[in-house]
Amino acid sequence: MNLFLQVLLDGIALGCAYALVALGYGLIFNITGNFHYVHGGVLVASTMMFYGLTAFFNVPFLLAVFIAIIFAFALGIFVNIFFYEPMLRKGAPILSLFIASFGLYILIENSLTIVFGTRAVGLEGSATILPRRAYDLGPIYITPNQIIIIVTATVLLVVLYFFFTRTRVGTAVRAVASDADVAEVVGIEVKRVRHLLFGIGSGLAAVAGILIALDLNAVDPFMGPRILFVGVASVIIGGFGNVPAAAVGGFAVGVIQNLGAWQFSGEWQLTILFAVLLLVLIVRPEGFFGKKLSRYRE
Amino acid sequence: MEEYLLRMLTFVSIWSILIVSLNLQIGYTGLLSIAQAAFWGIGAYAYAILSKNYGIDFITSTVIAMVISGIAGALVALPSLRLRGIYFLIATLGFQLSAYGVMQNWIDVTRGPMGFYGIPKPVIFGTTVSASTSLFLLSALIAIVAIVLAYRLGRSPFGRALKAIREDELAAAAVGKSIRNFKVLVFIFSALLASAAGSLFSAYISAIDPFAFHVRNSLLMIAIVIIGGAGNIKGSIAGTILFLGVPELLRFIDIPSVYAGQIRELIFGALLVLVIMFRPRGLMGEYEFR
Repeated sequence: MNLFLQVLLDGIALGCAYALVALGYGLIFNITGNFHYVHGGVLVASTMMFYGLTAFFNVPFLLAVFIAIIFAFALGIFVNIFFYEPMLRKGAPILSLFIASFGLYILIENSLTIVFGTRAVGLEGSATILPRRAYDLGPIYITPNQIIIIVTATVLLVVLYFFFTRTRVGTAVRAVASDADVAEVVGIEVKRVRHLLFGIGSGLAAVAGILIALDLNAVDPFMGPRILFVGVASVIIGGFGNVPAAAVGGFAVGVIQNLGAWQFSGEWQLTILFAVLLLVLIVRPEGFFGKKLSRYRE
Repeated sequence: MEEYLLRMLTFVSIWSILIVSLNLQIGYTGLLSIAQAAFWGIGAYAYAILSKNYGIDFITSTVIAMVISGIAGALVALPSLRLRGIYFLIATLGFQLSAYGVMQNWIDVTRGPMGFYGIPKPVIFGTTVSASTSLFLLSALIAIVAIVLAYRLGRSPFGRALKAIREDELAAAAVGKSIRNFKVLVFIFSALLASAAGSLFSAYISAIDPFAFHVRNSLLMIAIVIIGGAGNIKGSIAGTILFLGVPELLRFIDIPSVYAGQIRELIFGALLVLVIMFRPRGLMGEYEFR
């Protein structure tokens, strides 16, 4: 067994999940410019729903995943319709939206800890149908969970790429992202596009949360912000307005985190990531592959 | 009962310093930063290390801690304040998360998640302050000084310039105010006060761990400022009392005490959403946060 390749593979699996987080967060962040803290809440709520359905009710694996995604999709749109849009209509600034977003996150997290307790718990019931063994591939071992993570993430990324570049709806989304006013003028229903993006972004959060739970074989009601911050860092470092770069950023974070954890003690990795985030914001606020942005942008 | 009340009042004093100093940023200047708990933590750890490992007295170590926080504040504020709105917010978040990581992982110095124990009670002019009454009086005194300073600041020409920046940056710049200098100064001043609150906190509870200085508390502090009312010192104190008092009130109702923390935060979360949506000026604010 080759330790380097093994660590690399583990990093790729985690990186795939992070890429989905960054992608989902980037879709919402780029179009609203809002921090959208409650994204972490959507992620953890849908992952806990998946956990609850499989552990307590033995709902079939795929059905539980499906319900969790639909739940996240609806929750994202709900937040947009009932909180963000009324506030924007009243002319509230983006920072107020952030505060409302944090308030909603507190509501979600505390409801979850009342139902599920405050500790991390291992997956149970139908979530563990996959064989608990590792396949020997010569230099490395791969677990069924890792295969699922890598395959799911790759398929989703490819599908979304074609969705955004080849379909009418996808083109409309990109038009809104680049200039909402002009998009409105040419007859795109900006509002519906925004709902759709909140839905897709949140659904991706559910997928990413479940994949990370599978990777760790556990769920933790406090994991939301931790994963969200990785998404935020990926989006900022990758570059504002460039969603694929954000996904690449997320992927890199996962790989580097694992390789780093192999060489140094694990916990420093995130500290370094956030220090890099701070540095990038200071030196190059538009990120590495982003659109040039005005320093005076709100 | 008396002990319990003193303990509550001491916590209210310490938190008032934090909230009032954060209000100088949010309410007076219109800057939203998620780093207050980091400066609180710098003060707490600096006091813990200086007093325990080097036997330095309360006033000296608090002042050294404030200097360290002030330098850290300047290092964050100078570059970050070139950014605005959400980007400034994310930059301060980056600092908060990095600082928390250092507290958590620099185990040789901070003892990381195991926590830093046996922090000496404050020694002032050679006498150790250890009775709960005197500790409360010390906290209250520092809190009152901080609050009076913040209050006076709000009415001074400096405070008026801050409010001008908050209302209309361009107009303030047009009458010759250096926006950047004012913002940096208020950020540093706020970091200094938060650091003093941290030193007081670690001297009072004599055992600290990084969790108190988590980003979550930075965010809860913002919530208290907004609920109390941005730009209003009395509102900040009322918000603090509400935040620390609600779980105590819940004790008298028939709620299992395991859920008290969650229920307090549920109430706070709901209040925060309602306030920001329907009454952006908060309970007693003069200024609609924008």
